[in-house]
Amino acid sequence: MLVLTRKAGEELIIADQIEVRILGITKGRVRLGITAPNKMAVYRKEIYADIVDKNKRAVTAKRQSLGKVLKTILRKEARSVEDNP
Amino acid sequence: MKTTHEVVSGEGMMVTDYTITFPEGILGFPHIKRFVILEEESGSPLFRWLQALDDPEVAFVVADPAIFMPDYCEKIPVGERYPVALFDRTDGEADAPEKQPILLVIITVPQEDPMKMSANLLGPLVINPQTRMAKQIVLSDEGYSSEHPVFNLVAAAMR
Repeated sequence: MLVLTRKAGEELIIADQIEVRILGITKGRVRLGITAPNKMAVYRKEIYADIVDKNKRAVTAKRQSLGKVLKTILRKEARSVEDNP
Repeated sequence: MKTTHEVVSGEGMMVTDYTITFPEGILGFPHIKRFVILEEESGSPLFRWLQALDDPEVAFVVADPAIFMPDYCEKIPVGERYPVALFDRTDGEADAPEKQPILLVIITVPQEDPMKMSANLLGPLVINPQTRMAKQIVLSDEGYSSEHPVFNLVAAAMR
């Protein structure tokens, strides 16, 4: 990992096209301004990781008939309501 | 390995739409780019399957987010709803109805407890209906959940 020290107002340039400016540093937080080509997505890493994780969990579900699964649950619910009015 | 068509035709599914291409894949699945939308012949109209064409094992349950939040689409800022990778906003008719993005959200259905099903409202899929190109976006508004519980809404809609 490349480690650099920068002050507020200073910038970095990455691969000739991404600029990162240190806007300010207060109370343990750094505000960054990022200028990048429109097609380059910039994410907060924990949010990106969360979406990847949700996608992976969504896809591991076996492709069973959802309609059947839901109808089964609803039938069970209806029955438990009849049993315990 | 069976082809997607062989797997799907044995499961009472029908292909309802054209091929949708995700040039960058879906987050976490960068190499899978071509999908079709499937509908269960006897299933719930609320859900569809987004089935990878090149890998029968990869399929997502997807739904129209309006079921869970009626004004979901309108609330997303235009700049996010029309990703530049998919839409040319310099076109004078950019907002014509047939050019508006189609949004879908991915549903997670835990196998051990389907009642804990949730919708990923933070990372919707955006489709350009004309080019059939699509992209998963991540909303900048952190008020949206990637795990929005939906079972009660789904159950109510099915009753």
